[in-house]
Order: sequence, then C-alpha cells, then structure tokens
Amino acid sequence: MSTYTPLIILAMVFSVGLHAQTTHVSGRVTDARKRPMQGVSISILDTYDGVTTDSSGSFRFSTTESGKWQIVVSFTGFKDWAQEIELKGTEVVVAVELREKADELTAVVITAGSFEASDEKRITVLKPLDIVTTASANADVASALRTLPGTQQVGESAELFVRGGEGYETKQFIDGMVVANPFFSTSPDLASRGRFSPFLFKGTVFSTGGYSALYGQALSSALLLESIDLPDRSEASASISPIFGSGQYQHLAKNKKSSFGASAGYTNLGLYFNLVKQRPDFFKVPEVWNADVNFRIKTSSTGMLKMYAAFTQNRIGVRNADMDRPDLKNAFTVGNDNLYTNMSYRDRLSNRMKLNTGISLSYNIDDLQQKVEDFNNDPAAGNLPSFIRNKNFNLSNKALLVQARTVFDYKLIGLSALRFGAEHWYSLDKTRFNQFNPIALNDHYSAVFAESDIYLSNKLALRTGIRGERSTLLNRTNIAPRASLAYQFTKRAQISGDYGIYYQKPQTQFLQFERDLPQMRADHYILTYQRINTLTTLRLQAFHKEYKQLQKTGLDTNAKGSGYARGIELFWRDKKTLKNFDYWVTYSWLDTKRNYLNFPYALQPNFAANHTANLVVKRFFPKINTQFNLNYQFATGRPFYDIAFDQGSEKYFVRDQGKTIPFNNLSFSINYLASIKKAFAVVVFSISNLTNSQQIFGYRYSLDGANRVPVLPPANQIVFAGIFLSWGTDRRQDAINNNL
Amino acid sequence: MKNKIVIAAIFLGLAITSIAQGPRYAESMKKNIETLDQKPSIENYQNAANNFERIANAEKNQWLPFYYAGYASVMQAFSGMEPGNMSAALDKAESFLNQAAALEPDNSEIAAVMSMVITGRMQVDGSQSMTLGPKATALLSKAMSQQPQGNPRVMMNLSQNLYYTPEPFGGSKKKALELMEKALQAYDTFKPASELHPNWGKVYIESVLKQWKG
Repeated sequence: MSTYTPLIILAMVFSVGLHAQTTHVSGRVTDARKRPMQGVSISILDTYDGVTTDSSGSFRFSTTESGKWQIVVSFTGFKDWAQEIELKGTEVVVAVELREKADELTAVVITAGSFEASDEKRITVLKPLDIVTTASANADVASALRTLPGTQQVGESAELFVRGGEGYETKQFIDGMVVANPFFSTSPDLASRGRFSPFLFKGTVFSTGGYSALYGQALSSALLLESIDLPDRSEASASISPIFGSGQYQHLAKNKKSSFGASAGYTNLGLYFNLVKQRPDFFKVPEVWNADVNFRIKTSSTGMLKMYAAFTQNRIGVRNADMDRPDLKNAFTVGNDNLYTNMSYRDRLSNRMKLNTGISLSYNIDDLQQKVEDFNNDPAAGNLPSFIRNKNFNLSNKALLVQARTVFDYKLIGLSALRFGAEHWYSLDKTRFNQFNPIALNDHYSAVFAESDIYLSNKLALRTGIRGERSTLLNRTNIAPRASLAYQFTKRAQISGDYGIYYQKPQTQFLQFERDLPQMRADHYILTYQRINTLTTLRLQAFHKEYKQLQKTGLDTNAKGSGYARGIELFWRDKKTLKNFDYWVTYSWLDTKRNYLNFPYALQPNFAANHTANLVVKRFFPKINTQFNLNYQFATGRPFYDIAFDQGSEKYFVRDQGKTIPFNNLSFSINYLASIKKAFAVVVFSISNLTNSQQIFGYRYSLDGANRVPVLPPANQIVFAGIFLSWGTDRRQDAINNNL
Repeated sequence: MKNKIVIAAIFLGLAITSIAQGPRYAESMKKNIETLDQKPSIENYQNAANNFERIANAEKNQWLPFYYAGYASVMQAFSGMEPGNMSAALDKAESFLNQAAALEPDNSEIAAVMSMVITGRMQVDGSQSMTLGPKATALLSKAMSQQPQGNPRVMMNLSQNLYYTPEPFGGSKKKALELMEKALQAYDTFKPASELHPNWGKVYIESVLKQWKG
C-alpha cells in the first residue's frame, strides 16, 4: 500500500484541482538594493498561473489551484527565487528580493589585462576581422597586434616587442602548443612576416603580461591562437597579386561532422622589386613556397579532433656595403625550411570536466651564409685583415621541437573553475658554424601547472596559479606562482591586479657555450581599469616588471644581467559615436633600462621608445561596398649605442650614443567587395607610410667606431594590391532562385 | 484486488487531469497568441515572453510555448531597446528557440525566428555583419528546403536578408521584392497545422511591400 501513497496523493491533488477555488497571490519584487524590478516573471511551478511585475515591481494574480505549491520568481541575470506557498482561498502575499546571478556576461572578468579577438564571446576588444582589416597589417597577425598598447614599433623586426621586452620574450601558442619559429627566417635588420595566415584562427588572445599559469617560457607576453573548428561550408578560394598566388580548398562533409582541406602558395617579390626600388641589393629576391593540409572531425556533440600541418620554405639573398671597408660588400643568404604540425583533441568528459590535449612537432632548418665580396660582387681576394676574413661564414641550424600537453578544466560552483595539467617539450638543436664540429643541445623540459578561478561573488574574483618547470639541460627546477584579483564596481567597470613570476630558458646561442645558466626571470605587477560597453571600450593599465638572471656577455657568459620596465597604457575604442565608423586610439608610456649582453651599465635598450601612439580608423561605406582603413603609428626616437671593448681595462664602454628621429607611419588600405562571375571577391589595396616620411630604426657602427650607418627599411613605402576570391559550394543561392 | 483499485484510481485521476489540461493548454495558448502583437512595446513583449515561458515550463513536451517565448523575446529586442539590453533579450530568445528546436528539430518556423535573432545581433554590432549575415542566409536556405511548399515567414526573412545584404555578398533588392511578394501570396495557400501554430506576419509583409514599392 505504502508504495502507492505518493501517487494517490498526486491523483488527489489533481482531482482537488477540479473543484475550482480562487486564491490571490500578490507581492513586490526588488533587487538587493531594494529597487523595484519590472518585467519579472512570477509563476506557480508546473501550472500556467502567474504574472509579470509592473513598473513598481508589484504583482497580483489569481489561481484556481489549491494546496501546497512552489512559487518561482525569475528574471534574466538574476538567480531564481522559490518558496512553497499554500493556496487555500485567502490571499498570499510574498516579498521577493532577487540576487544577481554569476554569469559570464555580467560577472567580473579575470583576464581583463589581455586583448581578445573572438566572434564567439560577445564582449571582446577585437573581432577576428579586425586583424585582417587593419591598414598597416597586410593580414599579418603580429603587425595587427602592433596597433595595441604595450607593443613597440620595431620596424627592423617582425617580432612583438612587449613592455620593454625583447622580441623573443613573446611566444605564440596554437591551440595551447608553442610555435617554435612563428616568423620566416630573415637577414639581420630586415623584417619578415608571420608564417600563419590570420584566417586559420577563430580566436586570438594577446596577453601583454600577467598571463595564466597554463603557459610558460615567455618572459613578457603570450599570444594564444585558437584554430577554427569546422568551416561553415565547402569553399574554394584563391589569392592573386603581383607578388603571390595561392589556392585553397576546404571540404565540409555532407553530415557536417568532418572537414578536410589543403592549400598551396608561392610568393616572389621579384616583380615588385623591379617596380619599387629597394635600398639593399637583393641578389636573391625573397621567395616563399608554402603548403598545408588539415582535417577536423567532430567526434561527438562536444568532442573535436583537429590536425594541421604546414610546410614553408623561404630564400633571401641580400647585399649591403661593408661597414669597415667601403670597397667591400657583405652578401648574406638565408635558406629556411620549416615544418609545423599540430594535432589537438578536446571533449567534455562529464558535466563538470573538460579535456584539452594535443601534440605538436616542428622542425626548422636555417642555412645562413655571409660572403665578403668586392665591388664586382666577386669573392673578395687579396690580403684581408682577419676581422674582415672572419665575416665569411656558414651557419646551419637544425631544430626539432616535440610537445605533448594535457589540460583538464573542472567546473566548480557557478563560474568558479579549476584547471590543471602537464606538458613536456623535447628539443634538439644542432648548430654547425663553418668547419667546426656541430654543437648539439638536447633538452627535456617538463611543466606541471594548476590554476583556480574562485568567484567570491559576481563582483569579486580571485585567480591563483602555480607552474613548476624543470629543464634537464639546465638541470634546474623553477616554481612560478601567478595571481590575479578582479573587482567589478559597476556592471561595466572593473579594476584588476595581476602578479606573476615568469621564466624563460636562455637563448640557444648562449647555451651553446655555457650550460650552467639559470632560467631568465621576469616578475610582473599590473593594475588594470576597464570599462566596457557594447560599443565602446576604455582600458587603462599601469605595470612594473623586474628582470633578473638575464645573460651578460663579456669574457664569459653569466646570468648576472638585470633590468626593469614600467609604464602606463591607454586603449579607447568607439564604434558608437558615428555610424559605420569605428576607431581606436592607444598610447603607451614606457620607462625601461636593462644591464644585459655587453652593456657596461643599465641602459634603455635600442628596441624601446618612451612614447608610442596609434590611431586606427575603419569606415565601411555600404553603398559602394568599400571599407577604408587608416592607421597612424607614432613613436618617439629610440636610443642607439656604440659599445666597444677596452683592451686595457678589459671592459665594455659606451663609445658613442644617440637617439633616432621619431617614427611616423601613416598607412591606408581599401577593401572593395565585389562579385566576379560566381565568386565573391575582396580587392585589397594598401600603402604604408603615405606621407613618405623618413624612418630610421637605429645605427650600426664600424669596428673602429669611425663609420656609422643608419638601419633603414628596404624601401620607404610598401604598396600592396591583391585580389582574394572565394567560391562557396553550398546551395544558398539555389534555395532563393528555386522559389522565384 | 486492493492494488487494482489503487491503479484504477490513479488512472482515473490522470485521465481527469489530462482532460482538464488539454483544453486549458489550447485556451491559454490561444489567448496569449491573440494578444501577442496587439500592443508592441518592451513591457508587453516581456509579459508575453513570461506567459509563454510559464506554459512551456508546465508543458515540457510542447515546442510551441518555447517558440512563442522566443518570438516574443526577439520582438522585445526590436522594440527600441538600447544595445546592451537588446543583447540580453536576444540571448534569452536564442535559449528559448534552442529549447524549442530540441523538441522539434529541423523546423522551418524556429529557423525563421532564429534568423531574426541573428539580424538583431547584426543591429547591435554592425561590424559583425560579414560573419553573421551568411549564417542567417544559410539557416534560412536550409529552412526553405525543410518546408518546400513555402513558409511565408521564412521567405519574408530571407527576402529582408537579401534586401539589406550588399550585392557583392549575394544581396539583391530585385530578388528581395519578388520573394516578399511570393511570401504574401503564400498566405493564400499556407495552412498552419493547428490554430496554435505560427501564422503571423501577413500585415507586416504588406507594410514592408508598401514601403519598398513606395
């Protein structure tokens, strides 16, 4: 009998419902600060009865139910409120106070210090398209990020110099896996480009400091790139320009569960260099071959397996006047072959647990060669002093990096989460200089890491992380703690503070001669204020960074170098004030000095300018299907030094120094959208340094200090024109045409 | 014997309640559908969304209450909200429509309203049109094939998409007009599955056509 009791009661409750009896339910709904809430839904659970509150937060409705029922009060962004009430004909009055719910859209953001470009998360500073449409970028990821605060305008390099850090202090990660050689190899003082097209990525997070314990081996900055999942449709595309041609095909399976694709391209600057005169003599014009393949499989409703492999090859030969002997030239040749593969898998293991795992392999071969030549470009003969003869060299480097990584993401209550995992990098680096025996470096680097995001309330969140790293080559273990605290004082505005210790292995060229070196270290302290609305973003940041254990070179190599960087940065973006008009302004003030390499004392390094500013403007004219992009970059002059060695005191000293002229660069680009036959086409035209102002990146000195040569861009302006075509192979238009 | 009585009693109880619920569902839905677009304002659409949500939560196997809750939330977003609130209303609409789609997969009516959510998102942030526009078109094209006899609401949304898409992206004002007229004609033949099924939009299409031709 007893097993049926609940059912009988249930049946009785339903039957009782037939005997209509009316009860009024009334009350008032307020928020935690006692302000009335309009539009709130009141309901008696599992019945139709209920009502919506009016502008005074009050409500009243009647119900014919009787007995004990749950009354539920709900409103977007607030936690549901529920109470049991008894309906028996007499009016029920309830007072409701709703509390805000922690959700990603309204809660405080822990990672406010980084710049994120994503289509999936609504509130981000950038959109993926911004990277492609920034005037000065020419679809290069790093160049686009150079319009953000914290970055330096270092025209002689493609790398990202962040907050007083060297270019190598910024690391790029694709789906969590480090990219060993993100840029094409090049000759000294000649900027190259990133190897990876921005169209490969759906999300970009650029952290200019204080990044998560999940990542390491970058003293200054982490650039996290997330590759796209399945494409929306099958598509063939082609790019044509006087300097390159490429073709791509992506196939999406009919069941939309898997896709594969491949692309190939060839770049040759020969034609362009014939039209636009270059300062150096390119006896081998820059040439790039590239090919890649990918597949992506949706293994379940939550699982995704992705593979990407890219092969690139580039060649450059460039001839410049010899600094020490005006009758001679140095001919520099670069040969670079690079293979990068990345396979990643992610899935939801349970309601709370997510898994992200992957392996990557990269193999890079650099062949660098310099020959001293006479004025007829023949090998220099005759009785040359040894310091000139020594400029003839062959350097070949083969580097292998294999990485495996697993991260678990465990969801705690609300938005709180715990992430932990481990990674292992195996690297093998073999360098051969001239006829000498090759030097091999072999390292097993392992790291374990854990990080917790604890939301103490919707407004206050704490992230603590710890990363343990061990390198067998250095035979050292390091512990790197990280912490962030974020507080939201209004819905749109928040402040946050970040702290962290960051380690990075010394550069290979030092480890080749001295292995008993600790990891370089940087301590970050960052304070961020951010106010983010749907269409405007304001961000102010102040930071201080301490460098320790940097490489000092002299008679021997040690890790006694140190330094600091501090500064204030501003970012303002506005899409609201003018229709179809979007602009952002950035300003960075940087104060940095370091005593490293052969510096006799702490100096402001030659890649650091004190003031940097950017204005990026985008305007789309729908009537003519054209977007105009303008970008103005400004930086104050950078210091340059002639550091010489005094044989008597056996010490380095600054023989000469100065500051370059300020850097000005006004870039302009037009994207015109058109349809050509069945293809969708984007015609791109861009020009850098519109005002043709002189740009000097620094100076190089002859050995005796008597001759000083400016470091200049190969040409004052870069002009680009190209057309990007794509052919969708879905039946979108057919669906429309069939109905007409 | 005792058990049989108990079971019989239970069945009787359930039978009574289901009879009681049946007409009540239809009545409540009908009442709310009738008043849905009568006075378009943020408050009224909020009210309607809440009403449909209540019915949806009580009738967890019916997709129509979720569908109408989604529709009311979209219409609320289009009733002159500021961008931040508009995003929240569109989020809510999307979540209702996803619940409706979970009960009734591949339904062209749900796709039609979902395309309005995407249109709303483009209104909030115009710079997303290039990525969202094709998504809306793809969704509607699929919906076209789901209901080959021609769902006027799918045609109407597709037509508006065509109208506001720049020509190089596949937009066409001429085709848009043709399709909108086709959508209007479709009301002559379109028969909703029941009086509770979606049948809105005729008045709106007439006003749009007047404006486009005007």
